[in-house]
Amino acid sequence: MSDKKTILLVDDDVDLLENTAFMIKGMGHDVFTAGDGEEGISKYKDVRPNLTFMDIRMPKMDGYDAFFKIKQFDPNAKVVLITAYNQDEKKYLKAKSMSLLDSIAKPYSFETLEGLIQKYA
Amino acid sequence: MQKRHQQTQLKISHLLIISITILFLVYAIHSFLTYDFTLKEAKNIAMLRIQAQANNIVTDLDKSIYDKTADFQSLTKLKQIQSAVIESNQKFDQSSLHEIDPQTEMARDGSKTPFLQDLLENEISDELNNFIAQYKQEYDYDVVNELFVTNQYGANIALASGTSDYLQFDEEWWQITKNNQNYVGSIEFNENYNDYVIAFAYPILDDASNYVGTLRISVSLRLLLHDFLNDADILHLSNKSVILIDQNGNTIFENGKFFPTNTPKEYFNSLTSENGIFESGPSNSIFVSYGKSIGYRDFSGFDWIVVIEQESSVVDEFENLEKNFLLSTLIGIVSAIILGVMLSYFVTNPLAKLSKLTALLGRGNFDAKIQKSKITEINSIIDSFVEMEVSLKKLFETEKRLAEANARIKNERLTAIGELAASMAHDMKNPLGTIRSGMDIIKRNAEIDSKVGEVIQRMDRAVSRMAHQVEDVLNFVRITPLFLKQVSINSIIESAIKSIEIPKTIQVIIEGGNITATCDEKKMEIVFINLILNSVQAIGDNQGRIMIKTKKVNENVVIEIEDSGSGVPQKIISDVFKPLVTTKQKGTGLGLASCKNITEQHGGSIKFQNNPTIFTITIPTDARTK
Repeated sequence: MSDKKTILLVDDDVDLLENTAFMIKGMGHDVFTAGDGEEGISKYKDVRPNLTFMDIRMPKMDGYDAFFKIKQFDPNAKVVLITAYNQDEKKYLKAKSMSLLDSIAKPYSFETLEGLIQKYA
Repeated sequence: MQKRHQQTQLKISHLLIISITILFLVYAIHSFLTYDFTLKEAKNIAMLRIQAQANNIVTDLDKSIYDKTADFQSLTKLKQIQSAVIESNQKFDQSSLHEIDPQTEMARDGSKTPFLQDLLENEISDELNNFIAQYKQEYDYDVVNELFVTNQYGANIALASGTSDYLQFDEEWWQITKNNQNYVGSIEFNENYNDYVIAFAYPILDDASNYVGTLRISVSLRLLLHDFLNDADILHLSNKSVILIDQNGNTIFENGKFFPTNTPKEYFNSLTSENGIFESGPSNSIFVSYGKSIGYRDFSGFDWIVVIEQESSVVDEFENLEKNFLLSTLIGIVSAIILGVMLSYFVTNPLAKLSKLTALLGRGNFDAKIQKSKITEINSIIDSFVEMEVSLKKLFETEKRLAEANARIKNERLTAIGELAASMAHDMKNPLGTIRSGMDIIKRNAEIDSKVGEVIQRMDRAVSRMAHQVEDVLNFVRITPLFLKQVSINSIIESAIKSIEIPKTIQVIIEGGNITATCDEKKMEIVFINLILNSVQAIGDNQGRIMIKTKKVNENVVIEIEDSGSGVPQKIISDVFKPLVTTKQKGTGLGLASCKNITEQHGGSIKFQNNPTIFTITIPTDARTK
């Protein structure tokens, strides 16, 4: 029985964001969303979620940079990156070294999310 | 095979040497023949000259003898002598012969008997004495040593010279003249005069051409040979020996001596015709020419032979030339060889250098340098060569630049296409994600009856297909570096199986121990997913089996994926790993191409066979070693 967690979703695709938020809410968790990297950082500072799912390809600031910023702010931040196979090796390795939890690919399934939330959140 | 293509080859130096040698040999032969000919001609000319001279001399000899004898004979024509003889004949009393004979001898003290005196000092005798005196004056010695006249009875009626018996009728010569013939004696040595003499006797005829008496004259041989001796002297100055030979081969005169030897001339037997020339002596060193006496007018000749000997040293120079000639030919051939070698050096060396340079050119070296040669033609070849080099270099570089530009363009295009495909694929992922999550939500939050549920399932599968194709494109287009990690192959296989919905009708068997390898986990998973998915699709709705065998072979890990499906169709077997090759309407054709890319990126390989269908992947145990 999972307790209520706070999840932060960062993705520039609004539709996907809303659907994913709906799904996770349906699991019984609190969900916050952000539309880009900057917004994501500021929301993180506000919300301090248990787990963050962040898309990599975003305008203004990409997921990696946002991740680094968040990690700066909170080294213990738990982040899962959503890769669209745009592997920037260097940044990925850097993220990995800064204890990036995992990376998943789009499109992801409900089960995948559920599993990750149970595991890390 | 190779022998057929071998042709006889000549080096330039050999060719030159052979040519020049042949040239020299031709020259040598030509000159030899010319000299030979000239030598023969020179000999011939020399011999012909002495031949002509011999002929002339013998003719002159005959003529001079004739002249002299004609002169002697003219005495018989003297009227005084004629009439005196006739008178004597009339007066002659044969009975008193025996008394008179002894009176013809001179007394020891030199006084003469009256009879003798009478003989000596009559009119005819005066004539005769004049005759003798003339000759003596002309030739400065006692040319005539006998001269007397007899009547028809053989009795001496006038005596100018010589001692003679009163009666000559028993003499052979007298007998001949009595027969109205001229007598010509042979050469005899007269001790009194210490000289060789010849006797002549001529009949004296009256007006009616009857024999009335005889005139006998004996003269020195030198008189008759006077002109001959002059000729011989002249010729002697030019190293020619003039020799007079009698009819038996005995030498009458040679080298200023009369009758120098008793042995006949060795070549006497060769003097066969009227005249001729030949070579004689040791090693043919003497030219011999001869002319036989044929007489002159009514002088029938003594059957003598005039021979001229000349040493053939005149042609010695030619023979020396011949020797020099062989020497010069030899020198010529030697210089031919030297010349040939030198010339070939000037030609062969640059050519050899050129051929080396051509080889270098063939290997792509366009900057080879070559020295100028001293030969114009070679230089023009070198110039052309250098031009060619420059052109080729330019051409090559242009081609290279063109190829590079093309490659760059192609690359850029490919990169652009790749980028396009990737961004397109990527941009599809979001909407796909939305749809999938949407379907999920619908499934969980709405009351779905089974029919609608099936609809949603179909939608699900469609999304999966799209997602998969997007993945395929991205996987194919992106060649990202390998993220190497030591992983268990079996774990990758198992997670691959989990990602695919394998129908329950298909049995999956995994064999082989757990092998670990250093490889890119995610990429290898893609490989296995593609292969297993292919197998699943090949088996289709039927019952089937997929067998995955892993094993270690040397430094490699070998994974075999065998399925009981229908296999790869014949027509695409050779292209099966090429991109965009597929048998499925729904396929992108990128699956196997991606597998090939990934395994090869690891330094491994992929292959397949039909019957049964087995795809074999080989990757090194440690991809870092590649």
